[in-house]
Amino acid sequence: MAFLEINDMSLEFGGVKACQNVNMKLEPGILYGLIGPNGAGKSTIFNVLTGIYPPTRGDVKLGGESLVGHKPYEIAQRGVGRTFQNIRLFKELTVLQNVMVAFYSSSHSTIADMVFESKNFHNEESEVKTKALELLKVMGIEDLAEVPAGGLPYGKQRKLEIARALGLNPKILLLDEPAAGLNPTETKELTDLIRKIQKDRNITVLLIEHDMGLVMKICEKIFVLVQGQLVCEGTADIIQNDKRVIEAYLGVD
Amino acid sequence: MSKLNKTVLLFLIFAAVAVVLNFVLSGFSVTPGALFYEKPGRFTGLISPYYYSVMILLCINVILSVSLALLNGFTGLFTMGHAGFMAIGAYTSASVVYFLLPTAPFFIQLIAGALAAGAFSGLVGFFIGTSSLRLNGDYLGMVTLGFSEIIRIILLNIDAVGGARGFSDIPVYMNLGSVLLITVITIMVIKRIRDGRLGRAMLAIKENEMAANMMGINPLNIKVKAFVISSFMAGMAGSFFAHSEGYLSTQTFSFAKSFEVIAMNVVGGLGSLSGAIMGAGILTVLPEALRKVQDITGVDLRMVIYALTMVLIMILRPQGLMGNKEWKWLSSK
Repeated sequence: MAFLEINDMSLEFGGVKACQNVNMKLEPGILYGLIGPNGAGKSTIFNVLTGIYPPTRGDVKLGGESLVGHKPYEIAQRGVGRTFQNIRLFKELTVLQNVMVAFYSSSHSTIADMVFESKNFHNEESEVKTKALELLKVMGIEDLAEVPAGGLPYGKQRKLEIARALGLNPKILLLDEPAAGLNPTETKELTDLIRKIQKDRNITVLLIEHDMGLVMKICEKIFVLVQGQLVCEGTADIIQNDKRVIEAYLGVD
Repeated sequence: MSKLNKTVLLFLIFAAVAVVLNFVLSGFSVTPGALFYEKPGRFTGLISPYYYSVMILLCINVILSVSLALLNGFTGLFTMGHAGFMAIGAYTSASVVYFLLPTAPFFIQLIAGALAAGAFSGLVGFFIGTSSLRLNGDYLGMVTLGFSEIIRIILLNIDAVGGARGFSDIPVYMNLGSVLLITVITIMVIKRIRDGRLGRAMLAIKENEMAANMMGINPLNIKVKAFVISSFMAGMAGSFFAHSEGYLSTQTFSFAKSFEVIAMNVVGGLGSLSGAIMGAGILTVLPEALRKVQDITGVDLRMVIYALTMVLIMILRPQGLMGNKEWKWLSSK
């Protein structure tokens, strides 16, 4: 049994078929890529996985349990972390606070703890702070901890989003175009970072990306989505030589 | 343990200051009533009854303003019904004291009234919260505005609490030191909630609800908590109002009062606790201070100057006087 399964999932908005009979099986500890032309439904799959859209048909299972019908925050608590294509940081909070927010559901201090600043509260706060700083260090932005997140340069905002998602201690990390808008140096740096995080924490990563260099370099297995349908899956070699994939990207002779 | 002691110590220091203040203002009287809960029987030259009541009103407005800041400024819930919660608190407290505990000592009346006011207002806040929080932005504002008017009209039609005549003969026992103490406690409670994980979740929801959701935060749960805490405090403020005036009229709790509290937040700076306090200070003291001006000029320019000041503040500092800065003692570090 696969770790994350999407079984025959379809999503329709009225007459628009955003996803049709998508089947995906993700094994633990592997880095997957999800590619496809614009409008293929890649982000939609992320939105179904994280509970934002309930699928019209079919099922999504994490560790054997169905995620369909669960609220987005419940799915996040079960270990699905994500970043967004259009960055969604808490802009007025500091970089550190952004990451600390992710520890909300795993910490326990009550209102009374906060009001009386109990021992519990202090221990938990400093523990969360330490963990959050560690994540910032992993992403190489720990020196910016006290800066408001909205003031970060674009590339660092992308890194912060990943650090924040890691704060959930996710079993699976969904990265929506992590390299969009980055220059080649930044992209290279981020590529190495993603691979390092994935290996060190041994989590499953599914990433959407248009930068084929990045995808082919680090993804162990790649799914190709065209017009809401999965047309091909496999290693970089298989994908690059698949007729339907070439057709989708380059057109037919 | 040492941190808990620090909180207790802080409380004891403030309480001592409050008692000393009461002692001085009551003309050095040492009866328990004068020290803890009674309005001074006679005013020595230190402060006139008028300034005394302005100060109490100031405290009440600060409580209202900071409790709205929790909803409006931190959680990003635009509500226009704070006067409704205040009305519930005021009438609950007055009714409990007037009908249930008319002969109890003032001390008991004070505590029972305030707690009943807070609890009932918090309960109503819970129901309003759970039923309307799926709405966002202006829609929530409209619903809460409607709700506060409903409360007012209901109270207007209950004859037992005076109806249109108003609720009179409510025992008066507010004393400045104690109200000041409770105001400081309220501010500290809100500050500490803001700096804890609950406050971070609130700010996250205000900034980006979708992202907060993806961080495992249940927005509805946090919003309802914010609503309950805020309405509890507004209810308490209502209770103090009832027992400082001794008379309640539903007119006081019209939507103009809600807007006044919103104005306090906006003038001070939405999202800033210090701003909420400063805004409450300015909008309470300014109209009273302008009475002096009127004495000198002989023309009633009070409301004109008051309104112009607000307009000027909004033109010159649209982000509010404090922006989103905090005074040092209220900042998160």
